[in-house]
This record gives sequence, structure tokens and C-alpha cells, in this order.
Amino acid sequence: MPDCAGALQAARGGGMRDFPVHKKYELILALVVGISGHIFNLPVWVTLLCFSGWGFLFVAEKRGWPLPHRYILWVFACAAFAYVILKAGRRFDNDDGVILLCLMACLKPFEIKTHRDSMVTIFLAYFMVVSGLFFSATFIMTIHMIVAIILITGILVRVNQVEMRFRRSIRLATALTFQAIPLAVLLFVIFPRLPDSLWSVPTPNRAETGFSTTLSPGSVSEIVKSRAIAFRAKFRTTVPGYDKRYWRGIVFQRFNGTEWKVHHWTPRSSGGHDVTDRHDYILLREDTSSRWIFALDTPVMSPSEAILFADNTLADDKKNRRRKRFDLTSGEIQYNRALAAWERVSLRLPETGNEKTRKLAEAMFNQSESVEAYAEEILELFRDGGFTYSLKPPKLSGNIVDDFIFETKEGYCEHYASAFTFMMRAAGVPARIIGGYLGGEANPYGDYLIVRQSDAHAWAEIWVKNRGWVRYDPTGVVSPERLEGRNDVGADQSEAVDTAATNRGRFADRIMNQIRLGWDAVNYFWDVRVLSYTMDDQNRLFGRIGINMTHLKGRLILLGGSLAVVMFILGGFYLYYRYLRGRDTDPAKRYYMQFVRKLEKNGIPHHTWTGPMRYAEEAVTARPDLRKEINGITRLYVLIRYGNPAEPESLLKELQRLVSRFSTG
Amino acid sequence: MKAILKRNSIEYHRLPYNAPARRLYILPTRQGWLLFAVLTVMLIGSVNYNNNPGLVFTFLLGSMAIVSAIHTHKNLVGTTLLSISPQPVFAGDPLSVAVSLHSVGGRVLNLRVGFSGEESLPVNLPDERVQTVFPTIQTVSRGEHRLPPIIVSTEFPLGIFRAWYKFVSEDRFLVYPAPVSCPFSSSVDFIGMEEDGDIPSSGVDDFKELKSYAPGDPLQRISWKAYSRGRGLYTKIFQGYTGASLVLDWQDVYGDDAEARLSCLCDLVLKAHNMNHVYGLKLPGTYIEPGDAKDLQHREKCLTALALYRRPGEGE
Repeated sequence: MPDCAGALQAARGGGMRDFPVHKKYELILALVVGISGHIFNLPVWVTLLCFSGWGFLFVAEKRGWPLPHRYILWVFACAAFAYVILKAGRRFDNDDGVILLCLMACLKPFEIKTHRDSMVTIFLAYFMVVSGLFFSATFIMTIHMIVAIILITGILVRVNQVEMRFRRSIRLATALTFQAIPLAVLLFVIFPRLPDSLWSVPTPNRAETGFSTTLSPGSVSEIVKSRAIAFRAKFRTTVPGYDKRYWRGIVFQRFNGTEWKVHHWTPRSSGGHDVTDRHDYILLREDTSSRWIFALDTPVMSPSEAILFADNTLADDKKNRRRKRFDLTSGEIQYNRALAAWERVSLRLPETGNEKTRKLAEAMFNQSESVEAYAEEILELFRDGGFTYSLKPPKLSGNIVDDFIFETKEGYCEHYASAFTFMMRAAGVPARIIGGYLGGEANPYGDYLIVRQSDAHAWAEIWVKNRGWVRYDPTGVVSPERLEGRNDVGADQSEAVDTAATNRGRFADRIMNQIRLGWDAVNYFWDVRVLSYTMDDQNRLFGRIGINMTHLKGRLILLGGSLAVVMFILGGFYLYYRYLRGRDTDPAKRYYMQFVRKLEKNGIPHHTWTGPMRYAEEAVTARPDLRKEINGITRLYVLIRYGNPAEPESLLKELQRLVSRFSTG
Repeated sequence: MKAILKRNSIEYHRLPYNAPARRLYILPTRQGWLLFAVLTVMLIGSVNYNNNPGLVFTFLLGSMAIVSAIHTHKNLVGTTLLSISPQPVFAGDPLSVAVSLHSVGGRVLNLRVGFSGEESLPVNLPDERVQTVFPTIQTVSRGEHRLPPIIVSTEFPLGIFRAWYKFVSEDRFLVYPAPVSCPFSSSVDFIGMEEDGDIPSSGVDDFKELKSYAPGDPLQRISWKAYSRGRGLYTKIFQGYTGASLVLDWQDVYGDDAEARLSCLCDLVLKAHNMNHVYGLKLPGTYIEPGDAKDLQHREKCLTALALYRRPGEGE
């Protein structure tokens, strides 16, 4: 009875395949490679647990120690899973999912018996690699991913061809990877992107750097300690000079005596301003832990994935996707309106407190001809009044503004901005504090600016009739070099330049600098072109080819269509496979196998290579009480299958009847 | 039966048989399906979060899986089946068939060769030399049977896809009836020879002389007395031995049915041969004259007759 399914069965290789268990070492290696991308993101206990589990396994294999019993492993697994799930509670997010995955990876190698087990382990390793990409996605991570794929695939090759040498397996895996790249690139470019998530999961709770929603003395000096990159900006038009590089992010409106807070009731912008001095640029956020997008002062439009508020701040919409790349336009807004009703919050001060400053403010205001003149007066006060700009000023207490202006006279940008704003409000001028960044290092390799947390800054805005909101930065008078791109007071203070340092040292520094910038440029390009490849990029690309994808319906149809085609192809394969398997047995064999399965359940194992007569002998030895039935069924089956009987149908019916009546009970 | 009718329209392959490049089957294995399921999950996750690196990974891995199918296919193309040699065997015993193959150019790894419905055995073809592998067929009933198709398959390199081709041969193999000890009536005092070693004193044949032991001489005939005296191994030769000849007759054996009798006769043939008797075989419709003692060809002739025995009136 030659047929495909018999072929399938034979090709499947019967029961236990030849499986050298010493390949366990390599499977563990695959898992280690898989977890390597995660090591810095996982909680320490998870990493330790995994490595100690694998280490134990490694040594146990070498020394022949017995492995823990299956049930112990299951209990342990359930306990660990329960711990993770309960600890996360309702805030279960992707990070917790990854922890569960790593736990599974830790336990799986304890139970490798068949070929299938080792394949599943390899797939676990792959899954760990991809989950690492959800944490961080830099150019380096992409390189790591490719190396990981090659290594793990090499081990997969070894698992299947156990006699192949390791080096050769790696070479084969490398060849496979590179041969796959063209198809992968094609799929990447054409596979449709979604504008929104299909479902939302709470985003991971990471340590927040950068600004929070409150500003108090010491806030900014805290932020500037870090030299981590906050974002990068690439200008399509001219690059603004140093003193124009104000990146506006958060507006602090409410003062309660000790700290400034964001005002909750900020409405959205209605847009439609007159704008001069436009700049178009791409902003690539590095730190996405907060919603705020630090756009160049002042953003005038909102890209589709962000919201522009009426106080000219930008935030990404709440869809729980921390998007990185935004195409923005900023410029100087020509205000031709009065102060809006909601903006009156910028006049409010607490009822009491800081009386000395209030009196000073009133006196100075009454002496000034205009609001601008008053502002200049305050700046003169700061410049000539014995004030200093310092990263670690003395702590303020009580009436903190009074304390600052009359006592300490020492502070960082937030102190000055706060004092300035307070004095403005005390004189009845609408004023607010802006938190953001000032500056940006130009990277000649990529033609973009790098803005770091150490560039964090706070300044003020006041409302001038007929001019609208005008920026005033008190820091400019106290520490003018700050506006020239040098922040001598700040994170660099520890690296005080010793002018006696040798030229060679400076040269080495310069080389290091160039390397650093070059590497940053590589990362930037990778980030912008590949990692941030979005729906809009895709639309643009397809638009150039001539395919219109702007309609949401069109996009969804394309996505649905592609998925459907993929599913269809795979499903077709699968059905074909099942069909072949289904044609596997002629009816006689099918009934016989039912009979065999009943016996197997009773503890009489059956192997593909055991002939029916032999199996009948074994069965009768195990269950002599069923001798008659076993022999009857076996003989009938043999007759039908091998004996070419004259009337097979009636015999088949008889066989079916006997088998269904057969029971080991 | 349908299967038989179908069989008549199947084409048979000839040796040497090259792997048919255009008619190889190729499908994902069970692990292959699992991998595609895993990739689908990764794909959905990456699309949902618009995570491009995840998409890169998923597409890269998926493309590798698909490209590996080409490697699987390539692994099989260029193999050639050279020869298939079944040896006759007794019913119920597994039949080992020597299958030789070699590869034309290039290494072929992780091949599996087996008969349809039976277990497959691994074989590698690291160079152009011929390799032989011995897949088995379970035999059940005696007679002449057609060889089941041979499946040559591979899962190289990743175990994700399996490619295979089938070789359907016209060859047949012979299965002798399973020998079964049974009662019989005969004038020949035959049984005594089965006990260990010593000749019964009431034996028909008398001891004649000793000759040097030659490998293949029945162990019952060795003179242990001589050996224990340090004289080496000698075989006892019996007088009048060559004169006696038996005819194993169908009617002399008793059995439930024809098959039982055939099994019995088979057992007798084997014993007679082992004891260097001269024997002949008489079946309804067949008579084989007694041949020379120790003649393997004669034994084969008798066993073949037993295997192919057809009851008078029985159709094909």
C-alpha cells in the first residue's frame, strides 16, 4: 500500500530517535545567548536564578548528578510564576512577561529527553532575543540580535546534525542568515504598519530621568547630573544659534509657596497663528519616560501622533506607545489676541508668603514705565545685586523666594526663573515658568544636534500686551556663558580642565570625541531610518511608487489582506499536511491502531517496528485474560492487511466491531 | 480491492534511481509548524507595538526558515539509490534490506532511509563513496511479497522542513514460513539427534571414525572425549550415515491447518540441514528429491517451495 502518509510516518522516524544528550551544553549556551540582551534590564534575582539553574545543570551533566524530580520542578515553576504575577498585580506589563519567559527558559533544560524538547528550547532562546528588542533598540542591539540569531541557529543546526562540527554549523547559520536578508528587507518595507496599537498594555515603569510635573529648588540641578542623551534634532532648514536653542517642554503655572506645578486644565491649541522664523526639523526622542515632547521654542503645529496644547507644549497621545520620532515645525508666534480666560491662572499667587518680595516687586513696578522695563529692572537686580549661579546653592526654607532674593542670593536656573516669575505675578503681570532644555551639541557626522539631560534648563515667560508671551531667561545675566553653549557650572565641573594638561592629552580627547560623535551618528541614522520606520514613512515610500495608502480603510485592508494571505498559505500547507496524514491508514490499520491505543493505555507500549504478531504475544503475556480477544483481533487484522482476502468489506466490518467492543477493563 | 487496482497503475522505478529534483515532496515538520506559530506571535506583538526591531527579527527568522527549505531540497537532490538487496527471512522476523546509495557531488547529511510504514535509519554521505544502510521490514506472513516503497528523507539543516522522495520497486522478497516445532509421525528416529551431544545407543547409525573439526560441523558431533583428553577438536563421522535419506512428507506432519504444517516442515528442513542429513521434500503438487547434505542451495530450494506453496485451487 504505497502512499504518501506511510512515507510521512517513515520519514518521521518512528519513536525514539538517536539523541545524544551531551548536546545539552549547547542548548544551555543558546539560552544564555538569548538572555544576554536582557541582562541589564532584568531584576537581579531573575538573572541569578537562571544562571545558577543552568550552571547546576551544566555541572550535573558533567558529573553525572541526578536531576531534580519532575514534580519538584513543576512546584518550583508554579511558585515562581505565582510570585511574579501576584507581585505585578494589575500592573502586569511586558517586563513581567519577559520575566516569566526567562523563568521558563531557566527550567526547560531540566527536561530535555526528545528531539522535540531540544527544538522547543531553541525556540525559547529565539523568543528571548526578540523580547529583548522591546526593551531597548539601538544599533548595538541590532548587531547583538544578528549575532544571537547566528549563534542560536548554529546550535539548531548542530541539534539536527549532531556529527557536524561547531564551526561548520556556525558557517552554515551565517550563510542562511545572509541569504535571508533580502527577503527580510522586502517584508520589512512592505509589511503594513498600524497607526495605533491593537490593544494596550501598561508601559513599563522605568526610572524617570528628566522633568517631572513639579519644579522646586534643586529640581533642575538634579536632572543635569546625567549626561544621558535626552533627544536629537535634525534641522531641515537653518540651525538656530546657541542662544536660540531653547527646547520647550513643560509649563509650570501653579505655585503653592514651595513648588511649581503643571496646570491640569490646559486646553488644546486651536492653532492658526501667524508665524515667523520657521524651523522644520525631526526630533528623535531618546528618553520616552514622560509624555512631553521638547520642541524648539515655540512649536506651531502638531504632528498626527502628538497633541499641541494651548500653552504651546507638545505631548504624545496617550495610546501607550512611546513614540520616538516626530516631524515638527517651530517658530516665533505673532500673538494678536488678549490674554485668554484660562491663562489667568498665570496671575495667581498664594494669599500670603514672601511679603518682602511682594513689596519689592510693587515698588520696582511702580517705578517702571512698562512691563518690559520692569523685566529689565529685575534682570539688573540679578546681575548687579551680588547674585551667583551655582549648582549646589544653600537650601532655601520658609519663604523661599524671600530667602533667595535677600539672604542666599545663590541658585541655579530654577531659582532665578522662580524668583523672576514670582516677582512678575506680584506686580500683576501674567508669568509662567518653562521647563526644558537649552543648547545642543552639533554632530558634524550627521548634521544634527545632540541634547542631553545635562542641558536641562528652566526659564520664564511673561505676557506683554500686544506682544503676547515673551521669553525671559534670568540665567542669561547671571551666567552668560550658559547661552554660548558652555555650561561650566554643571555636569562638566568635575572634569575641570587643567590648562597645564599636555597637548597630547587634548589630542586624545579630541580623537575620543570624534569617535563618540561618529558612533552617535551611526545610532542616529539607524534609529531614524530603520527603527522609526513608521506608517508615514511607508505611505511616503509607497506614494512614490504610486500606491495610495493614506486612507485608513486602505491601510487596514492591506494589513488584513497581508495577514490573510500569510495565514492562507500557512493554513494551506497545514491542511495538505493533515490530509496526507489522514490518508495515512487504510481502514484496517486504523482500527488496529485504535486497538493498539487501548492496549497502550493499559501499559503495553507499542513501537512502530513491532510486528502485529509480536505485539499480540506481548499483550497476551501482560493480559492473559484477554487472550482470546487479542489474538482474534490480531489474526483478523493480519488476514485483511496481508492476506488478500476475497471479501474485505465484511471482514473490515467485523474488525471494526471487535475493536470497538474490545476493552481492557 | 481498490488498493490492488491502484497498484496496477503505479509506475515502478528502476535502479539506479536519482532523486527526482522536480518531484520531491517538501513540508514543514511538526517543529516547523511550532516555529511558524511562534513567529506569528512575534509578528503580531511587533506590529501591535509598532516595534521595528521586533519586526526585523521576525522577518529575518521567518526568511531564514523559508530559505532553509531550499537547503533541505538541495540536500536531497543528487542522491542516488544504487541497490536494494533483501535476503529471505522467516515469517515474523524483521527483514533487513541492504540499501546502498551515494551522492553525486557534495556532502549530504542527515538522510534517513526507511520503508514506508517502518522506522527510518540515519545515514550520511560525506563524500562520493557508497554507503549502505539496513532498514527493516516487519514480516508477517510467508510467501512472496512486493517490497514496500523506500522513503529517502531529510530534515537538514534546521529540522524545520522535511523533504523526501519515494522509490517504488518491482522487486519482491521472499518470506519463509516461521519454523515451529511440532509432532509428526515418521519411521525415522530423528528426535534423538536433537538431544545434547551423545548418540543414543539404539541409534541407527554406528560410529565410524573421527575427522578434524571443520567450521560448520554440527556441534553435536564433536567428540568431547577427545577434546577433554587434549587432543583437539574432532567431529564424529557415522557409518552408514550417507546412506540414510529422509523424505519430509506433508502427510507425515500434523497441524491445524496448512500453515501449521508448512511451519512444521520448515522446522524439520532446518533441523535436517543442521544435522547434515540428506532430505527431500514432498508437498501436494511438489516433490523435491533429496539433495546433497549440507547443500545450502538445496535448503533454499526447499524453503522456497514451502514459502510459495499454494493449496491446489487457491488463486493468486
